[in-house]
Amino acid sequence: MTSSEHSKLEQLFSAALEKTTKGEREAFLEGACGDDDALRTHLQQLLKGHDQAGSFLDGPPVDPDETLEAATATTATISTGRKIGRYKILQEIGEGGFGFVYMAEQEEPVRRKVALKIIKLGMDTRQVIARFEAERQALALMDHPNISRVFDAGATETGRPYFVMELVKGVTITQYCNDNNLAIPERVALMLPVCHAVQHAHQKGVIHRDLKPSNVLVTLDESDPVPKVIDFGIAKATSQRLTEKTLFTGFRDFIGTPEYMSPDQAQLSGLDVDTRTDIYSLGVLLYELLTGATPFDAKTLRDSSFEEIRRTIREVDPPRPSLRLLMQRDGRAAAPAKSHETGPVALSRSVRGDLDWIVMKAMEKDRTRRYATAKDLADDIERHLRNEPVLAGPPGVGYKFRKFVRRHRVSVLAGSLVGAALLTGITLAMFGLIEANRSRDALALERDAAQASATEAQRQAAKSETLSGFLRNMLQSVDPTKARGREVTVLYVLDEASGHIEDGTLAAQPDVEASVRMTLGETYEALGRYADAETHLNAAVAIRNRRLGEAHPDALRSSRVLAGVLRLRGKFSEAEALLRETSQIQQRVLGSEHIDTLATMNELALALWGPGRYAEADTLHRQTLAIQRRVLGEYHVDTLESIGHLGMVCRALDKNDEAQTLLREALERCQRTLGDEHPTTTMAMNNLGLFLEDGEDHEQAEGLFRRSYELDRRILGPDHPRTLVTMYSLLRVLRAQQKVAETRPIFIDRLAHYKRAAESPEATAVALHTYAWELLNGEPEDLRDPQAALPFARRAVELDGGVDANMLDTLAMVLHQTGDASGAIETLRQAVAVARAGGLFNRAELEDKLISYLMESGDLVGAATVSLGEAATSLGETLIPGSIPGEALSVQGESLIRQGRYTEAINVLSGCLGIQQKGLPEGHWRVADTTSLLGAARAGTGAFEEAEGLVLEGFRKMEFHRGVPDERRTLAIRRIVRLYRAWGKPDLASTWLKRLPAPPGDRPDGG
Amino acid sequence: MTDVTRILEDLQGGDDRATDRLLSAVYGELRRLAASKLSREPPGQTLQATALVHEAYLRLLGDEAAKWANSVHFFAAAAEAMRRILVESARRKARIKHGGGRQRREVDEADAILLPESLDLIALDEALERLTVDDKVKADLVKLRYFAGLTVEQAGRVLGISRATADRYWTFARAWLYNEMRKGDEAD
Repeated sequence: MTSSEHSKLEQLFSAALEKTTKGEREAFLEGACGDDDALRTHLQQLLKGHDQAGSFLDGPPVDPDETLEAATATTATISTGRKIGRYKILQEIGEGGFGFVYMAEQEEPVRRKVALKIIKLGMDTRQVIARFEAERQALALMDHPNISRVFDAGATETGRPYFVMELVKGVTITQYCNDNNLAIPERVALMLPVCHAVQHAHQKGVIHRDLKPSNVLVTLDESDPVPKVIDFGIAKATSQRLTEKTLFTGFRDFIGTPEYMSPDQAQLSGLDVDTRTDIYSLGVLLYELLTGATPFDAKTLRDSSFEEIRRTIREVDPPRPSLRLLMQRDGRAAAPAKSHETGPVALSRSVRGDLDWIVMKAMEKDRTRRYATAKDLADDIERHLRNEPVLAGPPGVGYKFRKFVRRHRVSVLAGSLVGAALLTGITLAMFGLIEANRSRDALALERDAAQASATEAQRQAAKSETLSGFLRNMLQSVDPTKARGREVTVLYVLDEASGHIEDGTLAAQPDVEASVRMTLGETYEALGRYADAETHLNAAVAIRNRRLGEAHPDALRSSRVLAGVLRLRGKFSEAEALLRETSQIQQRVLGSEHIDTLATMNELALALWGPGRYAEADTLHRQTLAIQRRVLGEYHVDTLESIGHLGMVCRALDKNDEAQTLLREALERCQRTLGDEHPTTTMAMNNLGLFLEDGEDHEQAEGLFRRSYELDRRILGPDHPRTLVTMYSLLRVLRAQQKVAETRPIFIDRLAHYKRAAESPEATAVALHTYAWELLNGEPEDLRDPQAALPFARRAVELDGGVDANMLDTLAMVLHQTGDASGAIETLRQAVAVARAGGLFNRAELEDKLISYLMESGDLVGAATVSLGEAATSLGETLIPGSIPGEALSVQGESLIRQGRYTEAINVLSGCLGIQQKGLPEGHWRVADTTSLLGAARAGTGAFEEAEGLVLEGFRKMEFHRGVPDERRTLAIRRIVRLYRAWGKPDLASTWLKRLPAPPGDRPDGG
Repeated sequence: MTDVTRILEDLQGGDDRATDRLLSAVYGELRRLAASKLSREPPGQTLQATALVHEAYLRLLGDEAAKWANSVHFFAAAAEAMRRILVESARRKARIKHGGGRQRREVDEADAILLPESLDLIALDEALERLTVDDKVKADLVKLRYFAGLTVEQAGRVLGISRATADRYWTFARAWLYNEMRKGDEAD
């Protein structure tokens, strides 16, 4: 059919339809179609179709004009003099998103002027009034000079709800501040009565839900400004759930004022909100008073889709007030700056620190981290105004992630299947972590305000955006169906992410790759996976050095983080070198008072502390701490960590009084400002516990260890290295008190941890070995299980290739205890060979053990050969075997002590001593060694005083003798410690214990 | 000024290439809106197609909505975009049905969009295609009325025809489409 034919058809059809009777219509068709049967048929069909079509395609239209009207709510105002209920309208005094406010006169029961607020169309009036009635009692209880009361609610003739409230003649708090050019402290002080008003309402059970400048008016007719919070109870009455019906007409009503909406409100459609939603809004209000802008730009929010608005409120961290002020300096000046003619840089400086932290704490996304009450917020504001340290503080890097880990601990660790929900959670957490990093970058930026510019901030933000986008996509790409049936843990997702990045996904964007690797590295570090952390951080440092230059603050920061991980892995000298280099550049580029420089100095001190260079660590910590106290404040988390570290150094240097003061101070402050559930706090608990343990105050130490262990287990997870440290502390102190029954569950936990590690498909030789060792040596002894240990010990040696003397030793002990004497001897021979080749410190112990195994099996010749070999190697002399007098006897004696056969040992060693005193030059260390051994044997029989003389004399004669192998000297100290312990003189034992060189990795970590 | 108002101004200035940009902007917005609503509505909820179009209209045009209240271009694009979304969804569903009842398929936001009445969308679309060839104005009128939810009068305003003509066209197109679709039924 052509267009013209079609057009003809349509014209005939319309004309036919106008004929009302059947006859007329047929006559019309006859005339119009003539002999064109096809046309006639077609028309007849169409007419039939028309009659049959019914409501075909005829759905109710939605009138765009009505839509528009509903959206902009330009309803006509009510004329003066009209009566609404018992109120006479006097004049219109305001208009808002909700509708109009009028000044009205009430005549009964009292004559007074009131404000009458008429809510615009689109609400279910009955529901609004019912909800208001439900809250009326609570509202009536409120009586506060800074709260404007709501008296009444009703419905107009046209069915619109209205509220009647106390008339407040005033301007919004923001306008008042700007009109009167209030300076920052005055603005802040004005918030105090507002907080108190909100606190009062909360105590009466009323939540405002819609705090914003237009609901906080400042009255003008008093001499002092009096802020009044209005509209209590109205938001609750007028809130409605979004339904299909309100889909678009109610859209803007529902959104209300998104700039002030809390994440809790955004998240849950306003259903599950509590008083903390108001705390958030108070934070936003303070933010706006300080910066002249809302945290999220009102226009941007309004241009966003509903979902984007909610996402922004829930996930995006706005720039802190001080940074916001800086960012504005290129564009429109902040209102406070305009008001009192201060430059944005100076203004930013006055807001930086306390006020930043107060605002950001009030505006925490997680309501449990906000101020618990409006009063707490007011108190912190007052502290600030009095120049006292505030409770709020900046969160440390990675803290958000730990928070996430904590929040999801249950599902993550229970190994539950993790669906889309957790993945989303992880995504958000990663996002949050990046934001946290960005704020740290931003802090660096602020401190360098002279160089910093809004463009720089924007560049950072743009990069951050790409970055978070990448992570989001990457994490979302973890297919939940693929993961079905297996555990999706944080680590699983991280490992996936690592895989992506190792595949070169980001190779084209090295800056982003560096940032992602930093994030992954820091996350792995937080989770205790130090080796993986090192890999990523190494790569990040390399990229940043190449791209940004080694003197760039970001590159330097990466180096410091890397060095921290190196330290945690026991690579102290590598860490030290890197930190020295980094801190030198930072001193030059950023200055010695920059937060980054200070962090590096602190890290360097820890790297020195690790290998026992306490005096150097002491000096450095003191320098750093002095600056931190001054620059960062007494309650900054970095300062708190440094106080704890210095305390631990003092402990190592036996400056006990100072150590005690510092460690207690650190713990108290951490508990107060960070709360118990913070890794820095649990570290402080463990540190103070160690100090108390030194002083044999087992009971108090136990309390601290137990608490920190329980918290670490929850916060960091049962397999985190730090949890293992506190667990071991607790075990130790329980064993010292011989609380066998209480030791049991902890040791079972410990075994469980090592078992998990050993049974994992990726178990390393170390993990296998550790588990075997625990099964062999654990306490209570009935939990020992050499049979179970055997396969793990074997596999550890296989995996390791038999090059680790300790693993061989463990396997030998397992074999020995499971009755395979020849296997044990053979394995131990290998161990001795390895130890000799590597010059390991425990060579002598291994040889002793081998000798005793050989003697047990009756191979005395073999035993003698081993002992002579030992002598020859230790001395580094080319002696003819057998030429050292008494050697075999001394070895035999030592081995008898080990087996607890003290009387026999005393006999053998006494004989040995006689031979040596004759055959060796006077003052030969071997005589001293044998003397010490004899002391140990005596101690075994309980002759403590005699033993004390012998072990001390033995050690003294060896102490400064140059030819003495280190391990013999160490063993001599150990004998003294053991003696004093057995004798019940723990003070002396611990004094001597400190003279032992600690093997690397066996020290509770202080960082 | 929003992106869409800028595009509309380009169109008014005679830049016909802007039509595609407008269509894709509206198409994207409709899908986004549908998706965002689905994400917060309880499962099983449906969305009024026409309400969606109006929300997209308010959101895309922002404060300038009033100025463009009768924009031919906007509503033409919206009707076309909504038609595409729904027809794509219907085709996809049909494919899946014929594909042997595969259990898993992607959740599509268009699935929850509800038209004033349930129709064989694919058949309607094919009929509309034929009508477009014969008489584009009438087909556009139907799209505006049915997919964008305008009244016949408004649709007429958008298309630049009088109210009487619009009514006439609508009556004819409805009957014509009804017959076309019934023909399809009979052929089956």
